[in-house]
Amino acid sequence: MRRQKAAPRVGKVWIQTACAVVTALLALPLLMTLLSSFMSAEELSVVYAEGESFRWIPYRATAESYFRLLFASETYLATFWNSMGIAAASTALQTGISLIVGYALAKCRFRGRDAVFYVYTLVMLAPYQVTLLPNYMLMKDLGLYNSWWALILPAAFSPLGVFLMRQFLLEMPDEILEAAHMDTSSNLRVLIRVVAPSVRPALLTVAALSFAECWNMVEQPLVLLEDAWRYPLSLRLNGLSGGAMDVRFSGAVLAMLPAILLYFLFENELTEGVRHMKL
Amino acid sequence: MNRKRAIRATVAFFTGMLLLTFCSRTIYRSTLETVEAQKPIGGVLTYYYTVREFSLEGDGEQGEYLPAPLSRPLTVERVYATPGEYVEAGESIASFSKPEGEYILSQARAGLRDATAEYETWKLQWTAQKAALEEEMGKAETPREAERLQEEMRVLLSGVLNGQSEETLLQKRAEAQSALSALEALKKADWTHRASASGTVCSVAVKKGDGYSGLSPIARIADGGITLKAELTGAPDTREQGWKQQASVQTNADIYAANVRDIRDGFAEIRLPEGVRASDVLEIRVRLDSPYRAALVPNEALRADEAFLLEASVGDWGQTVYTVRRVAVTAGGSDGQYTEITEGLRSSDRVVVRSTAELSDGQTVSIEGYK
Repeated sequence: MRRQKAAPRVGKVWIQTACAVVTALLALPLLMTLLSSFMSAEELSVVYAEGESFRWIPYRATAESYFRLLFASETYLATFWNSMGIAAASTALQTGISLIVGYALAKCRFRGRDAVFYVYTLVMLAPYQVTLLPNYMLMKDLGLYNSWWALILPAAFSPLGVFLMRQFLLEMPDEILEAAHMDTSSNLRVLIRVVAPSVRPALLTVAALSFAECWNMVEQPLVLLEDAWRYPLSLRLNGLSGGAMDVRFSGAVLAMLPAILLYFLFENELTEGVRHMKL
Repeated sequence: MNRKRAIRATVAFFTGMLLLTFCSRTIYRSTLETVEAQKPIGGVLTYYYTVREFSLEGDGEQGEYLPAPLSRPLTVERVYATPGEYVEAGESIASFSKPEGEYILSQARAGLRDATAEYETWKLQWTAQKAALEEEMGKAETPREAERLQEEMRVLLSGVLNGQSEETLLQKRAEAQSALSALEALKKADWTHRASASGTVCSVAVKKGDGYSGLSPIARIADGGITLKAELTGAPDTREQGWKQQASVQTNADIYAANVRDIRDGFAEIRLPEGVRASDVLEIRVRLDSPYRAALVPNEALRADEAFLLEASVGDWGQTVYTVRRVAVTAGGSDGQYTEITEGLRSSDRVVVRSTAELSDGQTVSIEGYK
């Protein structure tokens, strides 16, 4: 008995140790970025450029890089709102479209429904670079090249959200829909008044993932935008203040904040949504 | 983190970003160094000098001195004349110590007596020697001896005896007489040297307490026109054609224009205007205009051999952003207000003239005025 109890305890310790190590490794870049953002440019050149061993704690902490980032140049603030606008619009559209298409693929019966779903799955699994050139040509033909709609519209029709919503809606009992259809014949009304409130965690999950994806997009604006002032933050981060290292670190820290805040805002819904999706 | 805190954090973050979006420029501009910039101007370098110390030189300048060397220095008790002052003939120049003067006078008398006695003695010896030679010559037995005696007589008749010449002894006696006469005249004037002629005192070589040994000038007096000689520190040499120079002298009464000659080796010679006494001159003002036009910048714009240029660029939102750029320039002459730039600037460049603090290359600034 004692040996049997000791074995699971030892195994638990190993697992926890491994988890701690992995967590530390994952958290290390974030911690380095945060601490480096409070170092001066001179100190960073010593630590990074001259190859000295990494210094955890700044020798002389300073917020000068934040001042230069936020006050000395309007670039960061301008591109921040560029990113926010693109991400917000993409998220809103993708959430709505995902709900509608997911509902259709989960609850509506029509010929070719499964085929459509499989196509969605294949597109979702394919790397984005595969569709980049067709997207570019399409945006050119539509006259949307070098505009934010060139980023928003493809993101709005992303298959991942549809996939997630379908999976979540499959678990929804049909009786609820039947009861709703007794009150009204409009599918749209059923969708808005019955289905959407029921799948709120899933919607928030899709919104969060969509926001994170749009906030971090790099290749799409690089290909589909020409004017530098239209670029989102993810693309211009490296070039802030002439590429000064200290400004890049502080810019990275501030760029992380919206995604982090979004997670903490909808932490419970995200956890529930991922649990229900059975991925 | 619970939901409420997350909401507060999110609202605070986005509110902060909104505020920064609208206010950061205003806040940032208030932190920028303010500079004043202007383009180089094309002009001539103008040098202004004001001097209050100067020396005098006069036409017909003559020295006032005791015409004889003194056996020992005579202490100057008081100096009456000052440079620039006009003195009449007979006015006091300097007075000497009476006891010392009496002593030197007695020594001069003794010296004259000695010189006279020496000469008298020599004369007696000479006369005796001559008589003896004449007698020997009458008794010479051989031609050789006669020739020798004739040679001795010849030397004697030339005025030389025992290595001493009559001329030397007479000169010595004359000098002693001259020194005695000068000292007696000085004593008669109560040991005060007086001006021998009227004129302007150009310089006084002695001061109270100095030892005066005679023959050197006590003062120099000029009875003709007076030239003021002033040192203009850093003044360019104006012998090159095309320089314009003007001068004026200021007295208690008025300011008078004066002629100034070319500036050489940092010294200017200004002719004292007629009717103005050198002693009345308070200060001399000289203005020099260089003969050529050059690109000039204010002196404050230069830092060693560098200047900061103001550059404008378009910011992210279309506004004008001003930065400063350090450039090396080659500076030429300077007149104290402007400096000539021979290399490194174009006429369209805007040079930072003044700034509220030290600038660094590439620094963003705000401008106060732009010409």
